[in-house]
Amino acid sequence: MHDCTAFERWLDDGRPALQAEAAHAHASGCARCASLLVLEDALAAPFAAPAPRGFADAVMLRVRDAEHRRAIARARIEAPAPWWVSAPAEPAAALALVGASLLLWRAADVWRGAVALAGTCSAWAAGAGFTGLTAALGGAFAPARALGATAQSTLLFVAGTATLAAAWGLYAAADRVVARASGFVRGAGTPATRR
Amino acid sequence: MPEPAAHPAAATPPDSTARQEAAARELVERARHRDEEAFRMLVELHRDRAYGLALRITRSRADAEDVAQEAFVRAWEALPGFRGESTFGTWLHRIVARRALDRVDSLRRRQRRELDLDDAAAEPAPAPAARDPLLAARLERLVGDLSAPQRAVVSLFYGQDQPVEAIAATLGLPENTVKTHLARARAALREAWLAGDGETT
Repeated sequence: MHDCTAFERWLDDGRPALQAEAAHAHASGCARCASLLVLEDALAAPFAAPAPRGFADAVMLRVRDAEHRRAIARARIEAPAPWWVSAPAEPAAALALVGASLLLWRAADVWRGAVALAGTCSAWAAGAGFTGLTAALGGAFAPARALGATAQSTLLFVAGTATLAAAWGLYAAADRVVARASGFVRGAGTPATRR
Repeated sequence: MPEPAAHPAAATPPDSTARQEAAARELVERARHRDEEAFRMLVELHRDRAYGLALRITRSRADAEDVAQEAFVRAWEALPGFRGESTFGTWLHRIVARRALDRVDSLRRRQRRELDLDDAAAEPAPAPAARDPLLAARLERLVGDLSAPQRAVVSLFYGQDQPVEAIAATLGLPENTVKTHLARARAALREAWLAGDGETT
């Protein structure tokens, strides 16, 4: 190694052993590079500084505090709120609310739509050979035709709510089956992180 | 009377470094299983280097203490997921470096908002414990003049012997940015070091 540029490149390359002898030989005759070598050694030396007194105690206090907060959060997840608190937060509740609003706002249109849908279903069922279903649908709607618009809307609202409640119940049951099968609890993290 | 069986350790004196590493691994394993006593011992083993790294990056004793403590708490929380791909020390120092840089960033933002003086940068960091305290103090002075990312890169590159790719991953910076920080830091340190040679000799 004959010059300072090559020496600095050797330093930049992480002081490879292959050229170490030549580099040290150069540094022994060059004050500048000898000084750079001292700098490099100083940089590579451990840079520990004595931590303040009580450091470990403070860390352990914070660790316990974090554990305490985690335990509280875990308890909240494991002890869910009563149904009358959690039910309004369910998507089914929002859907039921939208459905009820629609019924109140456009009861007659909804009724006409429901009748038309029932007619279509009835025709499809009759075409497919399900005459029993056709008769049942006809029988179900026949008494309602005689009722007033308000009664019809109420009937639809009750039927809609019952359908949504049944859907929610089915969803909750499926959720429980999946949770039992995979060990995954909604809102409690992944199975790997859950302790 | 038969001679009592010699303790295996006495029969084959183990290399002290290997023994220390094994003991450290055991501590980490116990701490992974939520053994607070083992974790406390890890804290005591690593506190000076963690604090030193935080101090080098933040240049403030109070912030360095807080950052190092936060890093230990984070390490405790993340220990169950620690796979042992690097040593506990290297892993911890990555957390410290990341947190220290975040702290410097947030301090700078706050100072900019308050239009205040750069207190954190103005506070001189104490010289870390080294073989030559004068040399260490001089080095720390120079390192203190670097920017926070440059300090972090230099500390991880030299002090932790981490490659550029690992530093980039730790600090969330592109590799080329890390290389640039490293090159500029080296150039600045060398220039200042050589310029200071006249003063110290």
